[in-house]
Amino acid sequence: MTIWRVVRQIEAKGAMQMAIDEAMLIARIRKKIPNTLRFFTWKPACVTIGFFQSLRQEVDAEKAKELGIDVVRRYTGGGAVLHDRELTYSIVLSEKDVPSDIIESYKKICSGIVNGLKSIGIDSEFMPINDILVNGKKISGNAQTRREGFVLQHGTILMDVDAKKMFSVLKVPDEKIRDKMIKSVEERVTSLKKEAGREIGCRELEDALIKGFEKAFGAEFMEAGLTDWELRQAEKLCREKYSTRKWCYWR
Amino acid sequence: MKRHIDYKIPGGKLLRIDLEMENNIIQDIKITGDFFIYPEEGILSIENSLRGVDKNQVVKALKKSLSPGKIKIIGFDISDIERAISSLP
Repeated sequence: MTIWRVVRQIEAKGAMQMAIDEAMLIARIRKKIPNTLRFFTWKPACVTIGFFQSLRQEVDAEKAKELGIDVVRRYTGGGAVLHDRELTYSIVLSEKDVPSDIIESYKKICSGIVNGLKSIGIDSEFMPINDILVNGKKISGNAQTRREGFVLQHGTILMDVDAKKMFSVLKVPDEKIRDKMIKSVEERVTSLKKEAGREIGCRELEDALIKGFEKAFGAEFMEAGLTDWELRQAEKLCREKYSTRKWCYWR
Repeated sequence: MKRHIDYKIPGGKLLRIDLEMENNIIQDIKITGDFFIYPEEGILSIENSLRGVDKNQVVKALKKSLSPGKIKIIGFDISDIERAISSLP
């Protein structure tokens, strides 16, 4: 059985989390690390926008600042997300470990989460392009990039949702429909708290997801920290890329 | 003339296009939204290929300039760009 690395929950600001993800991807490309799954949480809460989104169009940056919420652009495509009460995972692996078809590869990676949720009593399903649903409601959003034969996918597992807070920092195309959009999110999005009917801690969820990914990939995970190389690379990327206006406002 | 179009793909992603057009010729274009393109830099090739192109020739221009299979778009289709632009009054 192949040994993969798992890095337990790291709490940090958004720019650093995005920098660690990219550092891990580079380290994997350069064969410095094995395939790796890691978990993280956001402090402070953070809005991330997709690689192709316009920060000005999607985020009320003034409001975010006022509320102490960070804003950062991701390396991956997809939509804007407020990361607040959630556990986030990221995984780096070889393209050879997933189907070459992009959507199928999302499905394969997401099956690790579906397995994990099942083990804590929650039935969920992958919904193309990049979501996981419970009873038709979204509980997880995911985004993936591929570089030089390797894949980085990260995604959220919602512990709790606050649609009002979300739309206080995300711009809506039309102010008149703000309330409607909040209501629509409340109807279309769910959380672990709602579905499990009890509080599930990060650690319990992590344990379940690790088993879920082991099953999905036939791999065995070994716990380890980030390497010094990854940490140095992440600090550099955080400083020189993810914290800069140039990166965050490039579109 | 500068224009902005929000074009929702049925059941899918949102294409947001900032457009500068003169006599139906695209002078400048920026396509943003919650879609995916592999590799990501492909968005710049798409935008570059559309400068100087008639608004009704978008698909033709992209088919000509993008080598097949090299850029994968997930969440919209190149015909959606033409549809979005031609939806302008």
